[in-house]
Amino acid sequence: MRTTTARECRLLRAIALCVFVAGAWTLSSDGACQNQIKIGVLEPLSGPIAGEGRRQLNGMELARDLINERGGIAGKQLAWVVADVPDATAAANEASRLISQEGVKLLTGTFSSSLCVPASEVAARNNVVYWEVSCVDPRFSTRGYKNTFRTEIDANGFGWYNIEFVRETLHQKLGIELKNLKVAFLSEDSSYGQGTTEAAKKRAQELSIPIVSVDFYNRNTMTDFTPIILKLKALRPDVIIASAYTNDAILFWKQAKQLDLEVKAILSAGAVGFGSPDFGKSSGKSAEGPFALLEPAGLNPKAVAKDVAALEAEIAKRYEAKYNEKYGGSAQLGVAGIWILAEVLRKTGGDLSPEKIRSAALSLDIPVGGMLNGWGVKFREDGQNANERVQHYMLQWQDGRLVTVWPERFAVAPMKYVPLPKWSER
Amino acid sequence: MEALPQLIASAIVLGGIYALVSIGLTLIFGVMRVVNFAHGEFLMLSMYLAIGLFAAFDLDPYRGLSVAIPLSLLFGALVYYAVVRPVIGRAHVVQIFTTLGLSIVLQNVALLLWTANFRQLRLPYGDRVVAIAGAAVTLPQLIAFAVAAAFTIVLFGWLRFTYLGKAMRATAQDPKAATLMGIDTGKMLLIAFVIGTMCVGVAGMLMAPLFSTYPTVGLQFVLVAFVVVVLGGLGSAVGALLGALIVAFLDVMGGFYVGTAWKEVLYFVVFIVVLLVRPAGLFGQRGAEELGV
Repeated sequence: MRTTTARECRLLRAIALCVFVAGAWTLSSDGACQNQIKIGVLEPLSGPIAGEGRRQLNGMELARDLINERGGIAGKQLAWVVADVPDATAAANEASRLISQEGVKLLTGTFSSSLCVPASEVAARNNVVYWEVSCVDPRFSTRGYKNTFRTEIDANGFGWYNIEFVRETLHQKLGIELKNLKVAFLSEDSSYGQGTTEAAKKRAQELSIPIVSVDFYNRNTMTDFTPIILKLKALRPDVIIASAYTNDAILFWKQAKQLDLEVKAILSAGAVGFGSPDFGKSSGKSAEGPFALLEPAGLNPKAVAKDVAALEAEIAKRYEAKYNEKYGGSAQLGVAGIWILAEVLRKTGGDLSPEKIRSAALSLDIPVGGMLNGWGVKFREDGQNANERVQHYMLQWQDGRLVTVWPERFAVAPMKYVPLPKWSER
Repeated sequence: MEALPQLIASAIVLGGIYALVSIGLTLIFGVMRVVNFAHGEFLMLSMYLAIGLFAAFDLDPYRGLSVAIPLSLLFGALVYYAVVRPVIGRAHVVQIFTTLGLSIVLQNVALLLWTANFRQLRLPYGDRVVAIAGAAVTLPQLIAFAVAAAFTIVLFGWLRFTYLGKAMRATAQDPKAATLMGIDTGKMLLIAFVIGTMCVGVAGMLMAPLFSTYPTVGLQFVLVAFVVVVLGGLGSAVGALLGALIVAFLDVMGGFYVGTAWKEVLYFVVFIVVLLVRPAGLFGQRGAEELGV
């Protein structure tokens, strides 16, 4: 029988030592992981919508830190694995990487409608929970996926709210009957713009509101709004309902001033475009007056639960101190989305298995005003937080900032500039 | 009909903007045969420079040109020696990936330095409207067009009548023959790249008051610029201006009479037709499009 040489012995010992160290390391890292709930976060941190993606991630991080400071979930700390997803291909690839290589069991994100659909498809294929906090594409929740959830309203809700604002209050303030109120739609052509515009158009038709034009454009190549503005000047709409991203909203409004397009009101939906802080900064005094449907910029404390009001105030204070900008839009969606997720995870005891998360999510029933942003929570079977629970607010640019002006019970300031003054008088 | 004067005026100023971006590209693409995918990012950097100069020194972009021109010449030379020269003469795919890589690097550097927020250079007189024959044009738009026209004339004259210009055209037409005629083609390539970069540097300064600035703003203009350059003819300054005006007219008129969603369809159809009839573009040197490609 062959004997083991001293050299081979040393080699075997070395291997044994490596195996021992590796085993200990694996155990210890497992131990650390057991105290964490690892969540994959997909956000566009580069590319054209990186600004809003960054804001959303800031909000999500703030929510995570607050939850962790308050003891975490079932004694475990929330931990992020963040991936940058500037476009649809990256969204699908990164979702796949986080699941297969990082071992993530729950994905969240993604700000944009062009990202949430491909990312959630990957999650569904891998039987991983997908928790969307902001995209609004209506198709997102119509694909029959069992483990795909969305806390934010969908584009149908955006469109519905826009027209509801016109029906309930704007037409009265303008002194024009609904059947005589001429409305023009202006929309970028992604699923956000199309979904919102189609839903609003449908609702406007139900209410017999005259629609004078519907214009779609590609926001990535839009360098001149003259053709649309001249058309609108000829059609003389009273109200423009726009679905725009930010650079196009800034350019449209700048050219509307240049070409003296007079309209009585302009409104949009979402945290981009007229609702983005960049719109106010870029447009200066011209920004005064447009409306944007989104999360609240200040809430009447009487309209929300007491603890929610206090929490809102604390979050806004911390956000503004940490990120040196006003807490709003995209960040609010991130915070509320994670806060609702935490409610669900508390019910599952931190378990990320799809079945448990689904039954916990569907069991949540929080009335409007009981959640951050003044929202409520009631997930439908298709994973969408019911639009009527995701309370939305009409904000208006006043004195360089957005303030909540509608619905009345949530409002913190009265509406101004209705109708919008002529450009020459501003 | 009422809208016609405004449509024409808007198309002309938009054409001026497209021409500003395209003139630099036509030199780089036309003379060097390098598809510079980072051209849009050069534009973006210059727009940030305009914002920075205005914020820090209260220097408007027009006076700021005195800083931007030398800086962009220097930047052009730096990029040429560091990135472009090593890939000249290599396979096109190598050149494309190199400039595409540069473009991604510059976008991300901008993202880190200035975040993804949309910024707008707001000049005190930026919204001042000049009324011309029933059309309203803003002062920065008018200046941008005037500069584009002036640049076209100067570049046209330079390429046509100076020795250096002729040498450059010879390099564009046939680099090997040009070398045999005693032209230092290496120097010509450097000059083409540096002047092309300077042109886009000027374009960025003039466009900063007109458009939002953000790390990927270049993408909005660079595709149109490639269309303009090929349509007008590689290496032709006049071709770039006319190509830009054609695309802008199709943009604006098509947007008004047919629909905004159709504008790209229109100018790409014209683009394809022109290339079928005149493969060298409207003003391109016949045969030049085949060389070195």
